[in-house]
Amino acid sequence: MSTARWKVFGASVRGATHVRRQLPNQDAWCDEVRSDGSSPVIVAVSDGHGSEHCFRSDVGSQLAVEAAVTECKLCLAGLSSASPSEIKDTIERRFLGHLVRAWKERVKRHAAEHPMTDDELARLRAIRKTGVENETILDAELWRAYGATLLVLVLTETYALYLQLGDGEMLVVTDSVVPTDAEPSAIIVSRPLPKDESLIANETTSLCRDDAERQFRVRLQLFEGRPPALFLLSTDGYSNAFESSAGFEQVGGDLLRALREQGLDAVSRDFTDELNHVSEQGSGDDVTVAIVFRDDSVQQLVSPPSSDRPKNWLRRLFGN
Amino acid sequence: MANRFGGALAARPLQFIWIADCSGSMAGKKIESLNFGIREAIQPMREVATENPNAQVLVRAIKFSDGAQWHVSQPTEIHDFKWADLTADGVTDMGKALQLAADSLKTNNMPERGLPPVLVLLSDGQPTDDFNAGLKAMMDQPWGAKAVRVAIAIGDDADLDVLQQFIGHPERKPIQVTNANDLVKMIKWASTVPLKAASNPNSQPMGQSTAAGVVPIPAPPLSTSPIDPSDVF
Repeated sequence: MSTARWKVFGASVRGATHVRRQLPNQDAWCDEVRSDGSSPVIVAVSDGHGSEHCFRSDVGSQLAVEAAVTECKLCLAGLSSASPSEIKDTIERRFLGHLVRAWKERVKRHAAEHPMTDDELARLRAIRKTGVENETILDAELWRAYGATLLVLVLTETYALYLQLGDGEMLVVTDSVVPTDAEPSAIIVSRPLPKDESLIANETTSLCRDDAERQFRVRLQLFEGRPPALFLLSTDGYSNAFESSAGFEQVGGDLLRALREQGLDAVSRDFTDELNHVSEQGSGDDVTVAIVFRDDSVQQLVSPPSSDRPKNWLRRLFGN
Repeated sequence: MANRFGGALAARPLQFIWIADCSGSMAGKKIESLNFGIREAIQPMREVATENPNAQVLVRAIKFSDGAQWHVSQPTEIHDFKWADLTADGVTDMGKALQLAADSLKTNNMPERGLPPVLVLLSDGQPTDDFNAGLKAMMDQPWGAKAVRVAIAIGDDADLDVLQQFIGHPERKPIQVTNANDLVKMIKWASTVPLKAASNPNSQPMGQSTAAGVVPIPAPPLSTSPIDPSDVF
């Protein structure tokens, strides 16, 4: 069982292309972490589709991350004494459907409070090629108008739960190797979920599809010893900005090293500028990145005097 | 300014492929206009690329007559692209041209983070080989199925049915041209408007794209210029 303390930071920027086309940022992210950093931690990231049909997807992504954090929190409370297999079973069989329904309820509520404008109704007419009045909007059209992806990370004392629907990326950074002077920190970056090979070009699975709950990729990772040092969730505007997959994965290690060497304030201070630069020089898309890191994984290596370093590391790892 | 975290940044690659009919019936005014039209389209394509700096436009060309070959095999940045004139002779092996395009669009040949490819097919006749096999090969490739496909029918003998099958979306029709002036204009349109649309596409929920395709593009303009009778194919 881990007694890790976690910190969360992140940023979301409007894409360079969206600035040129005068479109809003259609990404959103949200987190739930206790003030003392103890688990559970919940982080959600979402990317609104932004296509002609999805004209409220900037709101849809916001509703998605809010629904994810709220519903995950409630679900965790009910699973506190469940076994890992019971947790995974509950997530896959019941919770995903519940989460999609929770998003749809929020969409309905938002649409009721903010009826379609004349411009939005005109868009629906153009898509349907028939007349449409507000009261005749089909549920499928409503879900599509708010369509968005969803990535969720839940950290408890014993496991990490990864949920992903649609494009976007997650990285896990581990630092499990005993450090030495020659290799002060062996950092391993991995992807916790398998790729969805169908997600190419500009099509994605989505909360708005009928089969949304079946399209989620799910993994429950039990912690054996220390949990990973850092987790990263991002919309595809971030990973698509890098020339190669390896270049994107390099972000995980770079961030952990920067947190160790410079601290959270310095890293987070210019993070929005960093993401703006990434969008301008890379994908042009909205870019949203949320990072969760284990506080002690950063603390343990903050520039001790070099002569003192091995001794302190050993003490921290194995006790006095 | 360099990014602090991660490797090198780069615009997303966008593959653009002209697929040009070089059969004997294209000889004369048609192939001359096709060559002139593509040369004329290069500068406007460069302008589209400049206006969309987050897309790296890479151009290639396939020619088909007796068989099909790459006319420009290496994906070439539009800013470096030069057009060597095609000549016309032989039959219309359009199916083999689509097979060649399909091979280039296989997942292991395509960058994972690529933008939807744009394929522009130009033809004045009916396929003389197994068009359906070529089309199937292309549509079996995920990148082929998601490509923006545009077709220009040159003259009255072009097979509109096969060009419509190539496009694969009921709302987008083959662009019909019957004279040299319109062919040049429509090559420019087909080389720039779909390119611009594919350069910064919005995401679409899978399986819910419109009848116009994954990347919506506006309809081509209707020809309004007077037709010089000596210009008609």
